[in-house]
Amino acid sequence: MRAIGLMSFWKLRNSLRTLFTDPRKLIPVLLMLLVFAAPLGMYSFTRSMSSNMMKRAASARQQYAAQHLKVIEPGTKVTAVTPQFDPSRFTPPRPKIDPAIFTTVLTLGLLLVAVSVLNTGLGDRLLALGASDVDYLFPAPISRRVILAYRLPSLMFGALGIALYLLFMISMLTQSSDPNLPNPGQTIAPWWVNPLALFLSGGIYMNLAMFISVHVKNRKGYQQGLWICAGGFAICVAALFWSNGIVGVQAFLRSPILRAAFIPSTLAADTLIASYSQNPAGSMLLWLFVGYLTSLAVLFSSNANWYEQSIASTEKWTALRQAAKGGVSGMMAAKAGSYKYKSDKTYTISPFGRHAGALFWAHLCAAAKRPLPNIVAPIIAGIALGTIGAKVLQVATEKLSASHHGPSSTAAEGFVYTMVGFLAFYYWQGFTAIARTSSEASIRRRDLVSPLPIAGWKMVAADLGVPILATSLCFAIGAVTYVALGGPKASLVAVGFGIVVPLRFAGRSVLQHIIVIAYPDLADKLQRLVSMFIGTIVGFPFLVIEAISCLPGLFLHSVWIGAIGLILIQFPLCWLFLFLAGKATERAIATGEPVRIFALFRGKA
Amino acid sequence: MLQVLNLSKRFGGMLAVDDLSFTVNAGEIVGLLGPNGAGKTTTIRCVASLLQPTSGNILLNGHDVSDDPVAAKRALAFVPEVPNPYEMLTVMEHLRFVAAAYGMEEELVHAEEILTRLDLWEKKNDLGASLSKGMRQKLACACAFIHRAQVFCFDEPLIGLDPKGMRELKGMMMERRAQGNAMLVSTHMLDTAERLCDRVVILKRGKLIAEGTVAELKERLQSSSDVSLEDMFLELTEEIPGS
Repeated sequence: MRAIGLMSFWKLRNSLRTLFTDPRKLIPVLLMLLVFAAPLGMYSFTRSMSSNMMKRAASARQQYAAQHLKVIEPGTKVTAVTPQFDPSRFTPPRPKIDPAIFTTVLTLGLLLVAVSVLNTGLGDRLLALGASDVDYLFPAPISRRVILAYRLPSLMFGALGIALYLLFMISMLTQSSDPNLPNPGQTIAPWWVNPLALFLSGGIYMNLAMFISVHVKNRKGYQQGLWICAGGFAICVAALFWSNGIVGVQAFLRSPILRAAFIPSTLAADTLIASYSQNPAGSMLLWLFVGYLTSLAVLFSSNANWYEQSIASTEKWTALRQAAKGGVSGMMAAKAGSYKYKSDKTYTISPFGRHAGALFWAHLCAAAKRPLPNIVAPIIAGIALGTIGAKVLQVATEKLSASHHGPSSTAAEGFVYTMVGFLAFYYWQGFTAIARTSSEASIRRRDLVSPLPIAGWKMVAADLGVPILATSLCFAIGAVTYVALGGPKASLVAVGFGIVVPLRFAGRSVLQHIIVIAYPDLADKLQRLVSMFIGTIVGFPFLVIEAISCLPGLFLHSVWIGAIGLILIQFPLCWLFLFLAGKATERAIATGEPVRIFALFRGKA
Repeated sequence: MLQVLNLSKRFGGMLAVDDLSFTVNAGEIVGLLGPNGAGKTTTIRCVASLLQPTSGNILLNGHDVSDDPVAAKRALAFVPEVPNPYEMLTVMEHLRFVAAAYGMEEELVHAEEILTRLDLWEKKNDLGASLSKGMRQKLACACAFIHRAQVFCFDEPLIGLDPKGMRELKGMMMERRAQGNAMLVSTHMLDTAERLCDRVVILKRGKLIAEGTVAELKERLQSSSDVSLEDMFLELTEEIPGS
């Protein structure tokens, strides 16, 4: 135990030392903290605002009381009201949450946590330690129970994380409105009661999940059983909500069988409800504590040999973690490699084409072997885009046209374009991320592809051809669906989706490819962040060029002329980006070094 | 020192090791040989109690690794095929951790000597993450030699080592043999095995197909004296068409 304690301490100390002495590691961590801290900051800001508003409201009530209440006998609390007194102005300004909604949402949330933790236990994540642990800890004369205890703190942190997250969500709910719970009492619970209850409840499930991981070897069937049960439960809840509303769901959640089966969730929910109703929660907390200790005792009761399962999980997760250091593309490749294809599913496609054509064909075949993300998903996304766009905008424009006449029909048109553009923007972001993954994958394949006698720009076109085709497929199907469903301004939207967006996407993907080549160290988080940031801002000057190309349309009050200008400008831009990306690729292959973007305009490096 | 008795290990439907029995005595280096997929690594992992035998027993210094794993492993030093050091521990901290895990901190007095012989002394404060593949292999060997193990299990220990490192490691193995330690070494380097090992155990598809000294194998195969272990190995493990 002492050896493990020393090792853990040294690891922590050296990690902190490395973190604080290496800006490349520190800056991404700080940025990540900022991302997590932002919602917390927003939360505390709105909470403080809400508190100030309440104070102001209370002050207003006091002033109102001073005007309309008068003390009859000095030194006593006996008061009288004026005839103008309005009691409704004394109701608290904060809205009340329906008690049924509060208790139901709380209990459902805790049940969801229970199921997801048990699902983790039935998976292979809990027994995945580090590869170093397998090599140095497992063969050492250390009891398996001690190594399990070494794994436990991370599980406890997991339970604590779940507790804090849930508490954050509940606080968000109760911040702006008070739960109007029945049978209010007088006991003010200490601040730590709710987090402790949630931690103990999560901890019991975590220990149970670990126990399952250690003792049940073939867990896949059980996991599928859990999914079926959870699905059935969700259908029951939805059906009850549909037929009887929230009261029906509440009655179902109060059923003795369900409460007994998920007793830690029940006790935690009861503790929180008691705490919010200002009733004593001590006995429930005590039971939770006893339950937690019992779950620990059960976990450590046997000395089962779990090393073999752990090694399999560790190898899988170590490979994924290693791959994740190389970006999303690396992780996707590792994940795809971890699937065991059945022999009847493996097939080969004959080579086709020459030079860059053969390379493009290879990418196309690879994409065809995973049709779900590469073909099916873009088609479904396109149909969804077209359907939502057509139906929502039909309703919206009809309402706008009915309520306004004359110049407001132009406002309705503007609304149509804005909404379609807004929808397309989110699709755009998603596809840009996919294209970036392809660019990163091309860096990973560089050693394999660079000896091929293919011009740089052709190599880039072959590498990015598949994501551009997938994007074009999505938007083209979106355009066809939109037209078929009779969406407003169908011809213009169809040209936008079918021609402008794919052309523009092709150009921007190639531009992004240049940035990815300029920052090729995919394992360096800081470099990746800088690359993404530059990728975002470098497109701005070209946005200005595109805006200029639309000016004739603005002057002539013709959207079509603007659209034609936008289409025409895409061709020289695409050519320019492809030319530069080709140069960057050739230079990167020749030198093996990162490419300086501005050096592309000069002579040789 | 090390007794493997009727060991079988099955992964799903595949029998990786089939009723394997052999012994490694004190003061003896035994080479575990076999083509890829013969079951060498599985056998060594079972000895190190990383894998649970499907049937059979493994005794380390008289302790069964399944029944009394802690006592059995106290006598064992294990070097895996591809060692993964703790990225955030220094070389010296690895040695201190291993010595503490075996309750033998007093053995750290030999740390400088071991690390110097393996060219790691100057890197004693370097983190595991910064070590090259060969250095990682040397570190795993240093960790194996830092405590008073009686049985050593090496899985391809010479892969990735430079010539000096190979020579030092072989020298350290022979010193330990002279001190009465038992060693089981899995390797594909047959010329090294011929020079280093007192006996060899040859596996094929999980089964033991030959065991003994090189001289005994020559006698069994009725080979001439100039025939090498490599020739005999290939003859023994050769696939006979239609068999």
